[in-house]
Amino acid sequence: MKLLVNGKSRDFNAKTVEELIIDLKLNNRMLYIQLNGKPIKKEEYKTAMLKENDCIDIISAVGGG
Amino acid sequence: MLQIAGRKFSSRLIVGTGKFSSNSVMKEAINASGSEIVTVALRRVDLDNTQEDIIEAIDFSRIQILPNTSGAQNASEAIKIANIGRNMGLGNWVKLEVTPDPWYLLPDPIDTLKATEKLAKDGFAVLVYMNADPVLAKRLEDAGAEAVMPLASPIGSARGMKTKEMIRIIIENSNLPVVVDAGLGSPSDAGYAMEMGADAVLVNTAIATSDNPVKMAKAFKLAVEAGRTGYEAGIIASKEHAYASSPEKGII
Repeated sequence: MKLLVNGKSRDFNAKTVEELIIDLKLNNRMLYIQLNGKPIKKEEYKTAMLKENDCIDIISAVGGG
Repeated sequence: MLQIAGRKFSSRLIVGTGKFSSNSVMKEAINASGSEIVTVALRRVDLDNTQEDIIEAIDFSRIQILPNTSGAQNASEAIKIANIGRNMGLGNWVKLEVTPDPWYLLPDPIDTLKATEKLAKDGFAVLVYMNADPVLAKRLEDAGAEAVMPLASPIGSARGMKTKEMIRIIIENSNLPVVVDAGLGSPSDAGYAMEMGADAVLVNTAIATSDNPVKMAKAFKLAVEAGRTGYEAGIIASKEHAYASSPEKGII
């Protein structure tokens, strides 16, 4: 199904937020995730279901001064 | 010892994690710097170019992580980014940066003050990147900041202590730790800031983009220690003319 992840439209097989971050190989990272503008807590990754055209923002820490 | 927001640190050098060629170089440079406070930025993950996990390379047991609000152009964006860092699990420390102008990256004093008030009220330990304005430093202190971080010169410019006269006044007046941030290019710039009585300095570009970041991290560590030790020892006043070091009596 098509998902809009960080502004880019892509096809994914993932059905939950957890499956999505595993697909993206981000599952061991500290992340901040919003699903359609709503923050998703880590303990909700498993139960947060995805549907066609959902908009997901994934933020992580990067190098900075 | 340096004390910020109730936490004590033996190192007075804070390092940034931007612009390193790899996580392993960064990790080694942080170790060589002796730093116990390390800054990170928060960004959307680039799906086409997933970078190494920076957090994995930082030893949380020894190091206080300091997420910055870089990229924020006003108070509300900075507040949003600070909350994202806290919700992510990075703790309640934040280096507040509000920089509307991308060319010089100078901080907006009004929105910086507004964001400091709000974030301090919401339980953040706010370390504030600011222009070297002594009056603003006092206002930020009143607003609940835990440290002020006046810029030496524009971020990443390596131009050194261009604002030294104003930083001197900030150090004289401040009840908060003063961390000289931005623009320090060489170890001697850092040493000079520490000799003036700065409580700490923050260095990123000068270490990360040098030919040998690990060696440069060590050089900054030594310069910060030398500058601080000199400050504590009491640097003598300068004079207009010569005063002989050898005895003036019994000259042959």
